[in-house]
Amino acid sequence: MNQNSNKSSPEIEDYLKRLRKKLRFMSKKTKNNVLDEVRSHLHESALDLGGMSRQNAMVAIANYGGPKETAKSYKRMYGYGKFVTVIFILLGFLLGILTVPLSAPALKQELITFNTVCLIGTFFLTALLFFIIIISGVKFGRWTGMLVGVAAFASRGLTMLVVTNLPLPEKIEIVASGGPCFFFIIVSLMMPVAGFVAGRVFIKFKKKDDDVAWD
Amino acid sequence: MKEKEWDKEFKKGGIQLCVLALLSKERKYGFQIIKELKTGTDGYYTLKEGTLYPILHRLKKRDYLISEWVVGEGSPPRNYYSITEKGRETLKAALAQWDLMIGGTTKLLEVYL
Repeated sequence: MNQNSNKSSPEIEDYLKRLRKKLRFMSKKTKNNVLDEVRSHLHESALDLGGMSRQNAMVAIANYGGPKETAKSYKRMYGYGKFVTVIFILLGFLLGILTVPLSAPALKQELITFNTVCLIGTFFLTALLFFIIIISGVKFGRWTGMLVGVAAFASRGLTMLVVTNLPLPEKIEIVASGGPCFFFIIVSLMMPVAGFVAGRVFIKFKKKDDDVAWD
Repeated sequence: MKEKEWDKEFKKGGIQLCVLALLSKERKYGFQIIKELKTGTDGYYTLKEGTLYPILHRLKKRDYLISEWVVGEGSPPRNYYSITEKGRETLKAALAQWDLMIGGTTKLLEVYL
């Protein structure tokens, strides 16, 4: 065995650095496990080629495959870390609060623009919230997608409950009666469903074994 | 279907079976598995090295394999993979399916070709 068999090379370390970047958002434990294994493999491969030289390290890296493809197959399998999932759930919850439609009919005459902006804002925020729910379903799986949707549903419901029971200024009122209320409930209920369906549909189209590449 | 696509389809199922078979007698590390896959199949299973590990991790996730790090003298630390009891049962079931497929296909091909 080569005397330098335990020493790394700058080329390998540089490759691992690039791979680490591509593996961002994965759990620390999985990331370190993957990097240790890749390092071990590249060492073995370079030694098998005749020793830890710059050239052999480069050949070993070329035989291994690009960091982007490598990271992609691991991400497909392990998904992202819990931290990112929690961030998405919190984002769903916070955006849910902001999507509760408030209006100020008493100010209508003076501040018609304010009201219009509010409505358009609510519409766009709701669209953004759906986008985030769908993305979380696709990226983290159907159950996480549903969880983000449930967080949004819960925060919208809670906000509505709190706001309708608060002594608000007379000029501001909540769209919480008749048709708008029904629409509000339907949209809220669609959120967990959207997250689940997005994840489910994505799984169906995802080709699980496509991460195997042949020489 | 083009030649390359046929090749990919055949290899897809076979690779996991071969990995489990390779580990059925003794534990091995990734680089060793890649080399033995290549030499043991006359180069048929020559895969891009980095793509073996996701297969190993998938088999591990399904509890067919376990792995442990071994620090040896004069060599880099190695992650050795061993087959589990569940993995052995799966290998047995997969081999039975393999025999059925090969037998059935050969029989049909002999009649028609």
